[in-house]
Amino acid sequence: MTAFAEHDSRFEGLERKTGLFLALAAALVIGGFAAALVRQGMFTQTTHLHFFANSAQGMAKGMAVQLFGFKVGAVDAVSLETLGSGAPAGSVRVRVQIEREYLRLINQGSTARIGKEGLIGASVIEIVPGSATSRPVAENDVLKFERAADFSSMAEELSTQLRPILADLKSLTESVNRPDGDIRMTLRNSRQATAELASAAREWGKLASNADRGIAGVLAKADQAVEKIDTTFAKATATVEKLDTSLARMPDLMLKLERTLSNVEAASADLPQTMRDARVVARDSRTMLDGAKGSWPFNSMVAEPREQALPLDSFDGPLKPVR
Amino acid sequence: MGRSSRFASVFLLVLGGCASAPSPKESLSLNQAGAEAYRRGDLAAARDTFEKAIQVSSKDSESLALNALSLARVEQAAGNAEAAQRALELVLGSAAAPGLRAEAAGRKALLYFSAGELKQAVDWQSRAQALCAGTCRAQAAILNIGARIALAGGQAAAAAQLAERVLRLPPSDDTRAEQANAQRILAEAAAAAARPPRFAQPAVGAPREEVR
Repeated sequence: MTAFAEHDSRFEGLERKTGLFLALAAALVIGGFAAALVRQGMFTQTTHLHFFANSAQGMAKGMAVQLFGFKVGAVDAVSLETLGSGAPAGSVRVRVQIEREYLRLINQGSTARIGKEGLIGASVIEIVPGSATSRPVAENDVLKFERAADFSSMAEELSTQLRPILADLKSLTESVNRPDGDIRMTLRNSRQATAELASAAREWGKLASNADRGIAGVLAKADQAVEKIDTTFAKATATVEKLDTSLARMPDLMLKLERTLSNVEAASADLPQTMRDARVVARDSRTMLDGAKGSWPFNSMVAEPREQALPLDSFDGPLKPVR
Repeated sequence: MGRSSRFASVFLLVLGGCASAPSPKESLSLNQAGAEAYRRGDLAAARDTFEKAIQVSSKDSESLALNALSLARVEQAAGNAEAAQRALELVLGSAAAPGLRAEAAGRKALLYFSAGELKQAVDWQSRAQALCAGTCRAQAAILNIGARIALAGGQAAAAAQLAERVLRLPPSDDTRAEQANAQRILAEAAAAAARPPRFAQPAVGAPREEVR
């Protein structure tokens, strides 16, 4: 070896070069490792928060935690609570690791929701801050949790809502296809009603034309009547003129009527006496008639009413009402 | 109204009438009113009116007999045969003319005939015929009653003879209706004679009711 090194210049400073190469490689390895640690957040100050869920479905360790769409942490642990652990038995405790610098943005009313990045993206935990008045959370605080609707639940909900609609559509289609169904019957009746309406419209047309003719006749007669009324008015005017003349004579007639009524009144004053006299005359006449009936020869001409027995009939018997 | 009470009322009416003076005009008015009520078919009013007439005419035997005969007819029409018999007894026990008593006897015969008591009917018909002596106004009716009794007794020939006697009577207002009845009896007698013997017996009580 010494012989080659003495004679080949390429081996000169080989040890120095090898040491340099190894130092560079070690620096690269250490730098890469350090970068990996930085990337893993090993040098970031973090804190833990908790929330409880009914199920661990869709949640796993390492799952990203986002705030306002930025990744601020990750799921650190997912565990099932048992009796005596302080939380409701059977619930799922999820511990998330949050970068401390973002902790002041998360207040007490914040809610952790599990959702997806996009319609079919990876599942993430999204922290939705609550009202601005509440104070920021502290380390190991517990957040509320709600499971956001994912595609499958939305599809299931949509299916639940669509199922009755589809059933209705099916029954509607069946009803439409049935010859004696309501829709077919309604269509048939509508068609018939339309045909009858057309017929009625034709009849109305005829009636309208007849009415036009009738109205024309009536108007002609009305014209004639108006002419007659004019004539009558002319005659009435003449009559009124005559009436005026007659009314001028009315005072004389009234005076005559008054005199006549006075005479009637004077005559009627004697009427009661006349009636009394007539009653006396009638009584006297009856007396005279009775006397004449009892005297000859009238007494032989006028039959005296006598009592009589109801006649004996050989077929007499109890009377039976005839219906 | 029961039999005894009705008889008592009639008796009291007669007795009460004896205590008051006879009133011919009132009796006549009641007699006419009773006849009018009977013609109307108001038997209750006719009965009341004739009872009052009997009361006011108790001292006039003829008036009493006339109203009692009318009352008997009303009672017979009402189906009260016993009351009718009592009214007829008043006539038969009075001093009324034989013609009126003959009429009362004839009605008694008719009442018995209607009751199916042919023997009594025959007796009273005979007495009526004897009292009438061929001169009373009810002569035709009495003969026809006899004819009916004979017919009911199966003596169609005797019935026909009596009916023919009625037809031979001079027509008058009193006989005209009975001559029509005689024609009817003659027809029934002819029919009875033409029928076999077992059917020649008309039902004795058949004409118990009359439909007018």
